[in-house]
Amino acid sequence: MTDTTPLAPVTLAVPKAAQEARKPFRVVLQQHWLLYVMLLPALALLAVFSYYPLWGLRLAFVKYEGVGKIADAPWIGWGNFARFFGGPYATRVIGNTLFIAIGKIIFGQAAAIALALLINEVRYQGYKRTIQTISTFPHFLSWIIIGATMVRLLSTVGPLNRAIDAVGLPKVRFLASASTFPWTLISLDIWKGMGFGAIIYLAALMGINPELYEAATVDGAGRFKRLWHISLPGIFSTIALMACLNLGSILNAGFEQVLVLYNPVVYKTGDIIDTYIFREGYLGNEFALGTAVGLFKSAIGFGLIMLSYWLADRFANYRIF
Amino acid sequence: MSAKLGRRDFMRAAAAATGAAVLAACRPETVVETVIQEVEKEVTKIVQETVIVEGTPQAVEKVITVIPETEGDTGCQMDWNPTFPEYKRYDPPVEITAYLNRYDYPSPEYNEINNPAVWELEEHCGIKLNVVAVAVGEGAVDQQIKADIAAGDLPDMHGYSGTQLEQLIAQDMLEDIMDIWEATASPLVKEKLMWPDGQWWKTVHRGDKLYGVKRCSVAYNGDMICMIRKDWLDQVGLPMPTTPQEWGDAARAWQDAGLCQFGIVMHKHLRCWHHSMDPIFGAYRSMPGYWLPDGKGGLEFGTLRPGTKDALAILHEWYVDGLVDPDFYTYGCLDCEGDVLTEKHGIWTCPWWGHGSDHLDLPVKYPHWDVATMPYPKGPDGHAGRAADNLMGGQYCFRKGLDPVVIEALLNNLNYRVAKHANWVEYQQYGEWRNGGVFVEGWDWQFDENCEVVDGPFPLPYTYKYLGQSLADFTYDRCGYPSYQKDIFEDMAPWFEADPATLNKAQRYLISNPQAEDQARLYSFVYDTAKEAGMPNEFWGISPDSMVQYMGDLNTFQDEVLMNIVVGNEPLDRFDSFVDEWLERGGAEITEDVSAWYRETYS
Repeated sequence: MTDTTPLAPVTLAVPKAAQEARKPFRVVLQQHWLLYVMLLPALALLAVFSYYPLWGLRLAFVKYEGVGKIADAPWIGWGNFARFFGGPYATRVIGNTLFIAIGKIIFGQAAAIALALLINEVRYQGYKRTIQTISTFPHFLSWIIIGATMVRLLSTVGPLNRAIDAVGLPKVRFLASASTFPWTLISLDIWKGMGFGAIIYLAALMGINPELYEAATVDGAGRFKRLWHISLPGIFSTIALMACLNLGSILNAGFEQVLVLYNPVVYKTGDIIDTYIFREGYLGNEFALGTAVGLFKSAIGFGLIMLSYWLADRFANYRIF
Repeated sequence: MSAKLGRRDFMRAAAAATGAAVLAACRPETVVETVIQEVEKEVTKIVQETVIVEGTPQAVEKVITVIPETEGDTGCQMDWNPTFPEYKRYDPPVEITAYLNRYDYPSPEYNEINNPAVWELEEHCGIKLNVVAVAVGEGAVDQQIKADIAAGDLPDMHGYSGTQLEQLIAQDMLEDIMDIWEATASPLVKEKLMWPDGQWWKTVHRGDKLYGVKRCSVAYNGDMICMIRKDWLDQVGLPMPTTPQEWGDAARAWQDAGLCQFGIVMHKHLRCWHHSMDPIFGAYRSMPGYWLPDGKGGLEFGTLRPGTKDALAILHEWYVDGLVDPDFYTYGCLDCEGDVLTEKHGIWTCPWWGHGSDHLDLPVKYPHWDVATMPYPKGPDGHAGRAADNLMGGQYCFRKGLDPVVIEALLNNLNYRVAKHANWVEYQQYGEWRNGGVFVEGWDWQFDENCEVVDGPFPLPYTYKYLGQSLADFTYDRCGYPSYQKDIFEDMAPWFEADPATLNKAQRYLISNPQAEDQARLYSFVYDTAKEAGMPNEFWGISPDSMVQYMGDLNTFQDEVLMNIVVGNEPLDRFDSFVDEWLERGGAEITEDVSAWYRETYS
């Protein structure tokens, strides 16, 4: 026997949030005014520390020598930008910034992925945790501390060069050779950030279905093949996401690190946008020039963040808004 | 009504608490007031003999002995009787806004506003510090003052650089103090500061206006001496070096004899206050970064002088020969002290008063060392030179609109400081040896079991800390004048020769300091050679537009080329093209502007 009872009309439940959204703001405010009150301090902080200072960007467009009110300084439009781009060092500091930052992103990410894959292969938990702890520790040290140590460690008469000398190789001027210095920066950044960067890839590796590995093992796949055909594809979306997000920081070559390690001998390849701003703007009292260069950097950075967000959505299906 | 605490009640309570916390956090100056009240209590406890003078804010004359010179617990007696210059004390005190440097104090009960200098300022001079900013760390005060200048919110009194002074005058932000100065400054102050004929007054004396008080010490910032390990020199049988080449010869001989690893201290700032190479450049009549007379009535940039190339050749030779640390480019001004103490080097330069490792202490710390002062090395034409002060000194200026009573009180403070210092023997104010230290029993000094004066619990360097921390009054070095230190050392000279029994306990204490005689000798050396060897930077005016536009990049260019020549990354001949490029990149324009200023200023 067939049940011929007509189906009851389906009423789709409208999500509560959608219902709220339809209410006029006045009604929402009446119902939830306390939530909005609690939001006020956060908004105030945002306004005072994030939006109010934006007014200071005016400094980039005026002639200001550090005395009197910025509002009274004469407007010179793009003059400070023209001064920077017309100067002898614009191309150099932008080029150095890009080279060092891209190097750090590419090699840093590769190293973090490699470390995560290696740690993932370790079966003995104690050893695994020890390696993770040791490799993550440098991330929590400031560049000031690391810089002071590395200047001695990498010096011409330091332990590293003594070891190099002991095996009959020529000494390396890590901090005094223009060709070596950027790679010294990149290497140290990898060493410092590799362990911490590996955490996210390890988490992604944990999410891979273990049955895939078991099936592959049954099919005769060795460790390398499992890694190549399961682990790497399994974390590809994470790799793509991180690569896209890192794009936004392509003009951040690591101010603190460069500042503590560079010297006039390696300005040619080590002077980056941030150190240039520090020297000219802060030490040289050229606040307007410093602001202009900083604004240029921020504008490019903003564009790159938008691009990286689009790329993350496109290739990794990652959206915030 | 339900007794249950609902979500809404909880949120209301949380909102109220957050609001209260925000309001409390926004309430101004609560902490400062509390601290000051606490300090007032402390001062009341410590200052046992306080003379209250009625009537405010009228200035009244009063000789006060405030800081107690007690017998202490030892039962020993002082055999000197410290007195103080007459001073107009304000009661209630005149308040001045002050920036303070923060230092580590020897005891938690002392701090920036509870220390001997502040006690004296308030109790003797009737000036109370109203702390508006406490700076922590090197350069913090500069940061603060830059921000305040930008905001147009100046402290009551502050020392400004030459460029800042010009900008502040141009913006009409400084008070003209001519009338108050003429009426208040004592004849002694005017004499010591050489008012109005001393050339340093040019910076603040404009027509009939006076925008500040000068501070000038001949040796200040140009007080470099050259030190050498004489014991090593004797071991290798060499005479005292007199040329840059002989510096190198000494270092080579020491290396060959296995006495040291390198020989000569050098760092990435070729010219700075500590371990500077300026005597080497000076020997060749050049001085990187300084504007020097061009012999035609104008100025030229010291880096471009031909002698720079000769000096770079010497420095490069030292680098190649391993006579300087091969990683010297990673060292800053103060990073080399350890290498002197660990005997990596035997030649170094430093200010006469010492450096971080304090060469004046070396005879005590390392009795087997024999450290001697070298003559400044001479170049091929027999010239010796060192970086020197341009005698323009600093200037302490008062913000526009400051109450004239406050200015008067501060100038009276200057009268007091100078009178006390210049007549320290008469007043028996033995702390003046330490630039105006207060010389308090139980702080600077104490009696030992033989009732002799010895170091107290907080001797040097604490004295300098409390003297250096206030930037708002005329404590040292704001009360400095050209013969400030020479006055002291000249007065002390006979004590070293005298029978100790004829001296009082305080005098014996001062000369018992192993540094005292060396200080007097070294200071005299610097003072006496200032005119002959000093190469001051002759430009101290406001930066012309050309300088604002080009100088930053040119400094980068200069540092880069000079250092690369020294380490051999660039050939020595690069210096010639560097000079041309420097001029082409805007340097010629700057030179013209700076020279025009020089001619106008000194015409």
